[in-house]
Order: sequence, then structure tokens, then C-alpha cells
Amino acid sequence: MHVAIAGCGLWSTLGTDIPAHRERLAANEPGPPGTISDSTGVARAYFSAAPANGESPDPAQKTLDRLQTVIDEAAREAGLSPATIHSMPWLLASSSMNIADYESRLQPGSTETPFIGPRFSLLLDQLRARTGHRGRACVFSSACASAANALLHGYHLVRSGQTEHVLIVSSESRNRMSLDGFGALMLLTPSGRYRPFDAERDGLILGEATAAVILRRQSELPAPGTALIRGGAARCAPGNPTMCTADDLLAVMQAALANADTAADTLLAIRAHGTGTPANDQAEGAAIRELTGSAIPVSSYKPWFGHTLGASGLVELIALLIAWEQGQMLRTPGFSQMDPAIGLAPLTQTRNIPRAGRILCNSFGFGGNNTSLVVERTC
Amino acid sequence: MLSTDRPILAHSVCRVPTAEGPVDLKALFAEQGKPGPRRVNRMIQLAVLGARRCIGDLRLPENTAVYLTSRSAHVADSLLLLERIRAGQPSSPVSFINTSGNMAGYYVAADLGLRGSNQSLHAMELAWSQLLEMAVAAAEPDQYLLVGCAEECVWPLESHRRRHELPADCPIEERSVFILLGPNGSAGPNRLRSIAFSAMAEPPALATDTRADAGLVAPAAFVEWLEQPERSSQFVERASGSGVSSSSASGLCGVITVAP
Repeated sequence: MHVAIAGCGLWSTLGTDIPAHRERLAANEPGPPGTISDSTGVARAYFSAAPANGESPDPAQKTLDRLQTVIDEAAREAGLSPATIHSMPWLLASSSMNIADYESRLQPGSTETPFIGPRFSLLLDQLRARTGHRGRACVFSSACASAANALLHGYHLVRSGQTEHVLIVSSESRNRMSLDGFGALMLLTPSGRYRPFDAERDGLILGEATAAVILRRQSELPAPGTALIRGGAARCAPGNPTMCTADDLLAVMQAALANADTAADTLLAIRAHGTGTPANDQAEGAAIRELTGSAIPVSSYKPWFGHTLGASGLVELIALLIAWEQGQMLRTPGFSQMDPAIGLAPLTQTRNIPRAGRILCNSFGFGGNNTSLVVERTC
Repeated sequence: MLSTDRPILAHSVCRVPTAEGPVDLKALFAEQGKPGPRRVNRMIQLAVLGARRCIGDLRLPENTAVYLTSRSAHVADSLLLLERIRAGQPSSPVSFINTSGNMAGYYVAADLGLRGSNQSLHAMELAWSQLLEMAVAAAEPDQYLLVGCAEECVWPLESHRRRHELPADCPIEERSVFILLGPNGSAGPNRLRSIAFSAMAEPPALATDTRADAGLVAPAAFVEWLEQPERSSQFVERASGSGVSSSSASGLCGVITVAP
């Protein structure tokens, strides 16, 4: 029994659909980030989502429109009817949820209590009401590991026979709470240059994106080139709510490989979490070095999209699949100088890799929430 | 249907009254003989209190996983951050960190020294059944699973009720509910046998929830049902979110089977 990735949809800074991403990734040049201001007026680099004609200026409407667009795109690729889409389980991953909407309702100078909706799951409830979804549905909000955790749960649901299909959809909308929060934690790059694992790295650049993946149960041998979730693992690192050790990250990568019955030295590559913050990259780099030596290509995709937080696990999975279809592993833009404290150099040029094999994908979040997935393309 | 055979080794419902204003949770931690975590919000404190109360003196293996749900999550910190945005003030790093949806589970894991998966799940409908399903579907056979729910209130309660679209006189409480599932096939009472979802005719409207409670009702109802001396073997979580019912309610239901 296999868990196949049957369809994808993506709306990010690089474009509003999969063909646009294919074109932009093939061109091998990420766009420069724009700039937005935080609540105190400080300018911050930011990867806004590509605009679309006729988009609503209303943040709530815009978020729902984008979610519906990526779901429709994934459903078309999977060849599923609306009835099937609207009855399968839906898993929504987001760290920002409805915050952009709540911020848009703030009245400057008012002393009224700000509006917050009646449920944490409100964005999902609104999406289901709009689309007529009638299956079960839930929200994953585990910081930057949200989408990876939703993917892992979707994998378990399909693999254990609870459903034939499951939709995983993720959304990260531009909002000041995230911008201000990461700024207050001094995790945003002051230089405006995004360069994960680099000796001069100085923080991350946030981005907004919306993505969808449909997983399908497949009992027969998959056709060549089918993308599969092969397994994965999630672990909690209870030492610090915002920081993990190399041992914590090594443990989750080893657990994921064991779950997927995969030896580390057979991996084609590792798609790193690679946030570009000093602490994350040091711990992740040391863990990867311990796991594989330096023999396996490693890349961080965040300079392509910005750090899309709760959506990043899904956004970067889809980018991985788009490039892999062409037999390529994307480079890490911005990297130029190895950090001797890490001793690991990610890809500086897009690398040709076999079209069949397995790749490890990392997603690490606040709350000690670490998740690794093993993705396969069949031969 | 997801089948399993895990004993429910411990369970507890920690209810904190709200009528007299916010209860000092430090006093409740003092009763437990161990201070609570520092620099956290009430929801996190409630989760840690409830988890400790559930497991009592048990020492859990390090690979125990924590699964948590909440209807409204960390409202107080979100309000504080929104007020800062409105005032053009810098964010509060601690409050920002504590608005991560999984932070209550993190502090439960940190308090108990657990390194298994730490997952949080939120849903208007069937949150408890889906949370149990997630815990069981991902678990290793020998793993213990700590599964719970925490709900904080924000004062003044009139605003809290309005936020949750509740009548002005609706009684509400803070609560923290946990159950501890043992390894698959191990000895113990109240064996969780399966979790299933069944579609019924005439599903309820999705955009509204008329349940008169600001928090999730099903987890506490589930534990109270477990404690009934002569109970049926099936707990039914209705899409409307509350209660025990053996009848075929309309809409999607979560059916949790627990053998005595």
C-alpha cells in the first residue's frame, strides 16, 4: 500500500499556480523580496504573494479566495470530482489563521477590545462553509512545522485505511503579528539578504503563500515518476520553546528514516528547514553532518519563497517535486561562504539528481516541534 | 474505523470556576507541590495543571506523545498582541511565542520530560474524536499517549461570552481535561477499541455553532461518561460538539468505542 501525492496547488511569491512556479523555478532565479513596515514603522524585507487580477482587498476574502484556488488546482490534477473533494478529510495548516482579518478590523485610537472570532478554527470553518465541504476537518497550528505535521497525519490516515484521499491545505497570510513577533525576537535579517547556512547569515525573511496537496491511497504498484510520502516522524524537544539542539534534530531525522525504512546513505538529498537564523542553521547543519557526513546534497528553499511559517512544509514540498520532475534539486540562493562552526555547504548551483529515489524533508517549529518526512519518486 | 486496544490508564477533569473572577492558578500549582512554568499564559498553565492531575505520581516514558486540542486557544495573548499593533507598539516576545498553537503541549511535555510527538489539533466539529484518532494512528505500539484539552477564559466575561456568541447569562468555566492511554495490548481498564466517523442525514449548518459553551464539551463529557458505573460501550461525539448520545443524531458523528 502506498500514499501517493495525487495533486498539488500553489500560490506564492513566484506565481499563482503550478505552471507559473515551474517556469520561475526553471529560470533558476528567485525574485528579490519587497519591503513592508512593521507596527512601529521599521521597514522589513518580505516576500509578498504574487498578485492576481481582481483580487479582493479584504484580507479575509483574499485568504479564502487563494485557498479555494489552490484546492481547485490540486483537485484538477488529481482528477477528483467536487463530490469527492467535499467529502474527504481536510487538514488545514497555518500559524497565522485569521490574524490578517482581525488586524484589518483594528480601529486606531479605539479602546474597544479587538475582535477575535469565536473559534481558533474559524478560517477552516469559513472555508468549509464557502465550499460546501461535508467531511471531517481540523486545523494544525504548530508554528513552522504545521504543514509538515498535517502531511504526516494525512499520511497516517491514508496508510491506516481511514480514507482513500485526504486534502492538506496551508495558508500563511501577510500579517503584522508575525512580522512584529519575529522582529521582537531579533530573528529577521537586518541586512535584507536571505542566506541560510552562510557564515554571514543574519536572520530570516518572512513570506506569504497558500498551498494544497491531495494524498491518495494506492494499492497497486505506482507508475514510474509517482511521488509518494514514504514515512516520517515528529518529536518534541522539551529543552527550550524556541530553540533545539543538534541532538534533537538528529533524533527526529533518524526516526523518520527508520519509519520509512530508509538508510541515510541512500538519500538523494535533504531539503533542509534552513531558516537562515544563526541558531537553527547551526543545530540543523550539525545534525545533518552527523547523519550523512557531507556526501549528500543539502538545500534550503526559503530564499525562493521567504519563510512561509505554517505553510512552509507544503510550499517547499511542492517546489521540491516540481524541480525533481526535471531531475533537479534546487540551489540555496544567497549562500556563498561556509560557516566553519557548521561545516556544511548547501547547493550553490541547481544539481542534477536521479528522477527516482528518496529525499528527506525537514520542518522545525517553535514549541520544540520537529518533523521530518521521507518523500519518494518511483522508478 | 481505526481499531486499537489501549487501556485508559488515567483520566481527569480539572474545572476552574470563573464567577468570582480569575482564580489564582499559582495556588493550584502550590497544592500540587510544584510551581508551574514561568512566563506562560493561563491556557498553558491550565494544560500543565490538568496533565499533572491526570497522571498523578506516574512516571511516563520519555517517548510519550502529547496531543492537545482547544476551542478558542490562547485568546488573551492574541488580544494583547492586537492591542500593541493598534497602538503601534513593539510586540511582546513572550506573548508572541506563547501564541504558537502547540505551545501548551510543549509546556506539558517539558514539565513531564517527554520527547514523543507534540501535536495540537483544532476543529469546530468532532475535535475530540479527531484528536484521539490522530494520537492512535501515529502511535508506536509501546507508546503512552497523553491526550487532552485546555480552555482559558478572558475577563471581563461579558466580552468573552460575546466573543463566543453566547447568551449573557451562560455559565462558563475554565477547564483542562486529560486521559492517559497505555501501550497497545497492555493491561488496564476502559480499553479504547476504536474511533470511527459516520455520516448521518441532514448535517448541521457548518457556519454556526449554537452550543452554549465557550469551550469544548466533548472531552469532559467523555471522561464523565467513562466514570459512569453502567455505561454503554460507545461514546458519540456529535457534530454539534456536545454530549453523549446513543441515538442517530443528524450530521457527522465521532463514535469512540471503549470496552469496560
